[in-house]
Amino acid sequence: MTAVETTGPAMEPVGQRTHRVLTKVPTGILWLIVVLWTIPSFGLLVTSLRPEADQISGGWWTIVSNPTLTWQNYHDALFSPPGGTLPFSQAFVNSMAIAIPGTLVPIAIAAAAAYAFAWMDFRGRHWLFIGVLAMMAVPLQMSLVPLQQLYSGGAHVSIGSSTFILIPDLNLNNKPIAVWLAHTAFGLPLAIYLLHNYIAGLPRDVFEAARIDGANHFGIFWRIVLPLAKPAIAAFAIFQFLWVWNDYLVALIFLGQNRDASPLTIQLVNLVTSRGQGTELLPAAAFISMVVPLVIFFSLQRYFVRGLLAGSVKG
Amino acid sequence: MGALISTVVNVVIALVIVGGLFTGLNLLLNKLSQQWDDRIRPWLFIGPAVILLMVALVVPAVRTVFLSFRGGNRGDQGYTTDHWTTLLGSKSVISFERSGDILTSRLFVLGIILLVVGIVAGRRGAERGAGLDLGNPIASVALGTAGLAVLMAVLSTLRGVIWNNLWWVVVVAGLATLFGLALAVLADRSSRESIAKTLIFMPMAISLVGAAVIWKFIYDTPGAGQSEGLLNLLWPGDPIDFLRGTSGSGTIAPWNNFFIMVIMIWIQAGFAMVVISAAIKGVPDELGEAARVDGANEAQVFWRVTLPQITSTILVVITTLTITVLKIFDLVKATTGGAADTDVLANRVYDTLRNGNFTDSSTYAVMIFVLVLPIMYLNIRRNRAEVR
Repeated sequence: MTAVETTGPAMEPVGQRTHRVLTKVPTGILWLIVVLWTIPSFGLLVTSLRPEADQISGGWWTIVSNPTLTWQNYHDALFSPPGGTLPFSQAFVNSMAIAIPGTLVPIAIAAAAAYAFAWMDFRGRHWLFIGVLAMMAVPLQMSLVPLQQLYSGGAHVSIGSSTFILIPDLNLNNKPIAVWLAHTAFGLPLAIYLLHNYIAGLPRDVFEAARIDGANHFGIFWRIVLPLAKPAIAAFAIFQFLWVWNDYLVALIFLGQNRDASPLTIQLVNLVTSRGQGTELLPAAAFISMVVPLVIFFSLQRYFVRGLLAGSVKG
Repeated sequence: MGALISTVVNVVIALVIVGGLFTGLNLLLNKLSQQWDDRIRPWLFIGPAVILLMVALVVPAVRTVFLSFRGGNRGDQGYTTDHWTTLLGSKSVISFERSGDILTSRLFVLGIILLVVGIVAGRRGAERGAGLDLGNPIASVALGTAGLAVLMAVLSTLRGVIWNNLWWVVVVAGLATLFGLALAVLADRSSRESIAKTLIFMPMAISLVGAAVIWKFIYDTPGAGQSEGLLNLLWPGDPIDFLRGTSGSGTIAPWNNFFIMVIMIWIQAGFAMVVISAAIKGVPDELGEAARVDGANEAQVFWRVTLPQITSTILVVITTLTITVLKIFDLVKATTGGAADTDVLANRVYDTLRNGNFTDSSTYAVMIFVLVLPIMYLNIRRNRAEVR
């Protein structure tokens, strides 16, 4: 140590130098972890661009000795996967067809409810609101069997010998609407919670001024609340869109038997479990399913974080 | 494209109808007296949400409990507790067979040693008769690790889907929170913090199914038409199929579960980091400064000032992760499908439902619900405090 001290060009005291080195330690460890964290995704990205023969002959690191890259896997996964698998271009469209209504419809319903909970007076408001929040923690598994029965058989009540039809048999199973309708309901508690928090925080003066100008609740909601609540709506929209896009379970339950309408997640698992056939397309297919979430994540991270943190307890 | 266009058209039509109805009824209410307006309009606003929640969540939840006490696959054969007694009596659901092995497992012994170390260290720092001093780093780290080790020893020895599910909770909620805390503290003291955080947080954006595919290429064994996984490249012995637990020279089961849990930790550590990081930045600087003036070093400032300030946030992270992990399905389904001793409750819910056994499926769902209940209770209490 003394040798270093005397030969150091700046003649810095040892204590200060140690301190300077030590302050860089957290940055070093952090970036080491970042590298570890990124390697799995990076490896998959490299693999997705390698020809089938190269993939089998060695892991992605053999790219160094065998640097052939091709878009063929992406092309095949999108348009001509091996027998039985839906082309991923079609599955992409199917995912959109579920995720878009599964995001817009709950926003519309929740915004009205959130405004009522925040700024209207009615009996049972407090307890009803707590009930809605409690729904956030109920596992969606509690809804699967009854919802499936409801979709394919309607709802009846038998009193004595007579049966009353509450909801007719709508035969929704294995149609996209079955999935996004379920997502709409599952997303509502969080949507109401998020939007309520925001709308309840708007200044009271705004509402009183509008009242004096003769606006009623409907006018206030439409012309004042909706425009002002845009940040909260955006945060929820991003969270809900990603949740529905990434969902596997709900789609599998209500749409699993209908290959032609199934979303990316179902097709991706089909490709994993189809032993042998089309394994080389798996990394490319995985990235096709991740493109939209990653674009949203990197472009709208601020909103994404806000919605995610608030919505982390969702069912 | 046809499917998308027709869906979009349908949704637009539906929104126009519902929006039109909503607007029409509202305009109608404008004509009524103020008294009727005040009485009816709130229900027009919350009506759609309440109806949908009742139809899709509340009534189904009650019906699921009901079905778990009904006979026959479809629940049409009278009341019975058979599903509960059969399933809870089944060794594949919950078994105590190997409970004798717990005491001799290495993890358990390690846990006990750490427990003793923690108590000794904690007693030394504590004022007389004041119990344990948890602000002592050695004491709290040793006690925390001891708890984790003992729980892991118990839950990896006892087998069955319920134990396995609880093992998931302990490992993922515990380790993801610890990683998140460590990363948040590191990031707080690093340069280019936001880029690092973004990269660690990124797995949160992708699907669990996609994550399963990413990690398949870490865990795969070479041969059979697939590439060698990175972990097998680094592993010196016979190649191991980390997901199924098999290798040329025996089995690593039930620790193959652990390798699936690692995927979930990889995803959720970013979440824990972001939440805890926000909490750390929320701790007023003056508190740390005051402690430093009083002669505290950096470690003491962290253990005795920062950490106590963010305890409630850490608890929120743990409860959130616990709820998420109790429902874990996608990862297990996409990696092993529940084979090789990796089954969990939510996968049983799916399998039995797919086989048309609605009552067993409901019973498994209620089991998840019962495990979630204590956390739900805590959440309601917290939300009520927030509302008031």
